[in-house]
Amino acid sequence: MNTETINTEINTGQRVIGIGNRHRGDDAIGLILAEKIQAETLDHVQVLFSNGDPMTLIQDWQGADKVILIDAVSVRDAVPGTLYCFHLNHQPLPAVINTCSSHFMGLNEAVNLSKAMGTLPEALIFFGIAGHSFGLGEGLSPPMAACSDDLLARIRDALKQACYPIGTQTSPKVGDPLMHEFSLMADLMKKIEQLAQEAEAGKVTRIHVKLGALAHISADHFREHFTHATQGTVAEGARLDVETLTDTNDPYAQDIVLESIEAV
Amino acid sequence: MTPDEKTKIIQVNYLARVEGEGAMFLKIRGNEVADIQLRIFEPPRFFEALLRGRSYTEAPDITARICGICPVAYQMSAVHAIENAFGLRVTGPLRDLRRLLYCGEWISSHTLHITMLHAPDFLGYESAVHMAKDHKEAVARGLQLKKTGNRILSLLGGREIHPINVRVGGFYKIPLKSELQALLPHLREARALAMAMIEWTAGFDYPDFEVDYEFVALRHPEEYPLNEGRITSNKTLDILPDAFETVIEESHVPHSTALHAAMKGRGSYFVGPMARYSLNFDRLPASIQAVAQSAGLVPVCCNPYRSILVRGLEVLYACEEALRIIEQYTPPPEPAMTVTPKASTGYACTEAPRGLLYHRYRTDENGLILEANIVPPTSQNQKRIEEDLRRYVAGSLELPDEQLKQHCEHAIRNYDPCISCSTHFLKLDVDRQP
Repeated sequence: MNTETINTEINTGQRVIGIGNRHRGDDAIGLILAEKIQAETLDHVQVLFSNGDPMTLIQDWQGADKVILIDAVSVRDAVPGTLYCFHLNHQPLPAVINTCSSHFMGLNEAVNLSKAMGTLPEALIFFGIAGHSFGLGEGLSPPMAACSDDLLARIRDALKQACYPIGTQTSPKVGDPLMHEFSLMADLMKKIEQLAQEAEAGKVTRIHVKLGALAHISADHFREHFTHATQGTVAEGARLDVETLTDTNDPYAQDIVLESIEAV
Repeated sequence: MTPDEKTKIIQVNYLARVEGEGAMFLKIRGNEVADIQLRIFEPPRFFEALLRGRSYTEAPDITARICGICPVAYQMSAVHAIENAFGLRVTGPLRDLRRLLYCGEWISSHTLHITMLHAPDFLGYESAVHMAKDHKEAVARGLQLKKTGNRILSLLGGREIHPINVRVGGFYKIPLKSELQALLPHLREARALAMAMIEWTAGFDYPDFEVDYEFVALRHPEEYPLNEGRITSNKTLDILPDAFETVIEESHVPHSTALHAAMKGRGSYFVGPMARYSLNFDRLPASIQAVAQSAGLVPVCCNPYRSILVRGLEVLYACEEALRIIEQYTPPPEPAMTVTPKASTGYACTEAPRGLLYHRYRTDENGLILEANIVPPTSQNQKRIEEDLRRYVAGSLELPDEQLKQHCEHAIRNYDPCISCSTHFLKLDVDRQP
């Protein structure tokens, strides 16, 4: 997959950059969706294709007002096709979202470099789509193929919106960070159950978690999901202490850390 | 230091801006450097074992995975070594296309190191991101140059990272003349950008630090070396690649998962851009020799800090060479020459961006690989880097630990160590006792 040649001087407006590898199963989704957008020949929407090299991406997004990056991501326990959406001008990609990056630079570093150079678009939005399988020559997995029309509709919606105002923390209204919490909770519950089992405990009575400053979830939101996730488990009805951290430089700023559990 | 002061261990987390993971350990006793170790702790990757039992056709694609920055170097040494085993010699336009592909890698790899990793050291910034605010133009230039290198890699290699179009005997698909010609305007622009990059780095302050190196690099009768030549040094070494293992000895040291290499009976030596340049100054076009001189480089460069200038010069050379190859290109009749496997052993060295890269393969009559040996440039330089640092630190012991660490990091980056390749840098420990 070659990145299209573009003259960054004259291209303003909106740009969609599909990222991926056509030959690696669900990793093709970013390219496929970008192709579909291209076929619609929307006015003022330019479409590019990329292999995801962050240093090249800096040049690819330069000069446009609004850029949507579409890439497959690998998130443990996520339902395939789950859409994660991040406004990269205001928030880095959390550690739980794995995009492919070379050793030297990842997408977050590329955003910082572009910001320092003053070339970051007013709105740089990342659409990460949870993939199911990334095998050689496999094509899209059935669950991914099944939701591609829905994903396309969401990207179209995002394109219709006006530019996002700078300096606000609002995520684009394309379905929030869909189901992001689901995988987080699934992961957390697995750990809690494992700990309870190891302690040979019948019931978990209290759980203490720390939410990193960049964990992309509020304490209230977390509680809501927690209540659902614990139903019918050893932790049902357990007291939940949520400590919200404020230090964005903390190494775990993007994570949710299970601090302790009490069990009987 | 007072006699009652306790052991002082200073630690920094992973040293940024080198490829891969490793650490440096520095033990200071009184006014002496007691020990210095370049600790490479990235797990060994066993590529040579992985190649055993595989077909010769797979070697270029398997070995390309050793490094994301210099995959072409691995592909080139692999195909040349296997062709050497089978008695095949690739000539004409196919040879030129390989050289062109290698030029693309030199442009991308060197530009990345010059702009993103090394320049911030000279200008006093923590990283390229910090540098970018004040040196926007230099960073943009670096990105643009790298992109041009990547264009060559995409066109000839099928894609930028881990190209998939190289095979024993030639290529799977060769580009159209028109596709190559489309690169010309980008390369002409890149040539001007490389000149500007050299001018920019020529203005940096360079510490006085000269070392009497044994430089080892390829030397070719006519060309600045990329794909072939004899292995030569400035201290009487002059051998064919098949004699590499008779002269170079690899050994395991406990503190590194990458083998150390040394010249038998002579010790450390130094491969890379400075070695290539110093042994092959006369193979550079007169125009580039003139640029070297105006940038303050003498024909034999023994100051590792000036390696940034030499890399810039090699970027310029690669642009010129790429232009030359494309302008005189006539497509070959076939994308690859016919390959007939046989039971044999083949050897090759090519010039990776970081220096001499040796491959050896033993094959059976069907071309299955029975044994492989790969000696990357960073492995070869490890011992030399440690020796240089020992000397450097001995002269800088009065510096506070924090400053000493920064200086050491800068010194290490002079060598552009690719730890990903050598297994894989970096964390720095200073243990200072009276």
